[in-house]
Amino acid sequence: MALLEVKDLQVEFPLGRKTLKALHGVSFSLEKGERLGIVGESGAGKSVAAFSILNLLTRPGRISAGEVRFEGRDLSKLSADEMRQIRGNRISMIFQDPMMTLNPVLTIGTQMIECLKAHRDISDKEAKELAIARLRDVMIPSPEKRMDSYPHELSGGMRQRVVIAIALLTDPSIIIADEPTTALDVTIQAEIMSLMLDLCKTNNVGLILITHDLAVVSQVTEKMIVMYAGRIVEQGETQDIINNPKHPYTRGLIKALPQENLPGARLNQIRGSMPSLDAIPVGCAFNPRCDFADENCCKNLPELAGPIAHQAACTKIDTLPEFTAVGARK
Amino acid sequence: MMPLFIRLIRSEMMEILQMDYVRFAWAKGLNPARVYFLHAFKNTLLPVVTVGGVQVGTMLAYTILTESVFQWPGMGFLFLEAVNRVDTPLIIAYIIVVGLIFVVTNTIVDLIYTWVNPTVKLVGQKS
Ligand SMILES: Nc1ncnc2c1ncn2[C@@H]1O[C@H](COP(=O)(O)OP(=O)(O)OP(=O)(O)O)[C@@H](O)[C@H]1O
Ligand SMILES: [Mg+2]
Repeated sequence: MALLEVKDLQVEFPLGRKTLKALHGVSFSLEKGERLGIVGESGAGKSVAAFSILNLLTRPGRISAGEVRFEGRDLSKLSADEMRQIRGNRISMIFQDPMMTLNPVLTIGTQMIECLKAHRDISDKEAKELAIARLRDVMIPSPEKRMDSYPHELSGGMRQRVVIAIALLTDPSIIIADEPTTALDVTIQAEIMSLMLDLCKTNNVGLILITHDLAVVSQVTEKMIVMYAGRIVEQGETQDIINNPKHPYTRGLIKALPQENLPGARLNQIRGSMPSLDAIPVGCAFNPRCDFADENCCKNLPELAGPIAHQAACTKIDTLPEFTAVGARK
Repeated sequence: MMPLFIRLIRSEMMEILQMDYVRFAWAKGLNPARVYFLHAFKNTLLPVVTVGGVQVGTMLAYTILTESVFQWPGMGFLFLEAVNRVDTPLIIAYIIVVGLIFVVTNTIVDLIYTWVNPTVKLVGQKS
């Protein structure tokens, strides 16, 4: 049995008279120590999927169907107390913007120690030592001094390191990282990413990595999911998908990478933009933007098909031309 | 003054409960009391302290009104009498005392500020 199993998850936002559906049945699973990437355009529902795992959706969002199983337990059936013992303890989260995730009026130390004390029966002194050890793991210089600092005294990269340290404090089995490097300077993105990867590997922590960066996904993860308009359109082993994408949307994403294009040439792009939640086209949601769409695509919704190691939700997989990268891939 | 504070705290709280750091506090698995009273409430104190300082001043000014309406013998009433009698020394004394109270409350507000908001540092204070 997988460590985390998400089955046919559906999320909706009741807004006044109409109800917006943000996820239409998303399923995936994660084994111990495994790393899963979730990619997709803005608005595809990646964050919604991540937050619904820990049941932290912003109101009025709610899980309308499906289940999330962690170590075999259905999380929706847990009491508030039991759920709290999973949040931050067994499953941690890292948010996108480190400028906003740390509370501006509390010291780093307070914010670390409170997390430990919420889940462990330990003294202040032990908690402090553990916190300092974690700060050292994420390579923060003079961690003892940093314990008394406020978030505004640290740079963005440092703050994200602190957030990572907090996520790792309780030795969780899974970390969910929602675009952990998007808000950072490009020069430190790679540094933070490799730090995260190292720490996950050494502590055997599972990682769900949400990102826009396909290069990062291919370097860090073993499995990946491509999302479009609240559905999974392709999933499987990362290398397989990157080298041989089946769904036209995934192909578009990969072709749009700068390194796929010759220097000086116009960058490829997928025409059009993602539909809003109240205007998702009938049939395959991608059909208005797809170069290969036909009548059938505008009527019937394709299901994920193919071997578990690489599935795509497209009825025309077999008839699509062979995928060829434009430029040389590194 | 109470209703004003309650409304202010309420609207601030609504806003702050949407912030990422409150969501992060939930994600850390803290108990609700700690999230509400420490993480969220401490952030609402900032505007409350600011408004509170100004309110003390307003309250002082309105004593003149309340005291003359209800014929209470107080500082405001005394001041009004003094104006009627053109008792200049008393008027001056009153203004000095009120001015002093203003200065003192505002200094206290500034001091509280550094406590609730760590980004504010008074000059000369060691970080
Ligand atoms: N609180 C909310 N109320 C209404 N709709 C919401 C709410 N939160 C998210 N949505 C909708 O859910 C959809 C998915 O949003 P989500 O934040 O998961 O996108 P995302 O894939 O994480 O995008 P990004 O890459 O920009 O982070 C969006 O269309 C958004 O409008
Ligand atoms: Mg998001």
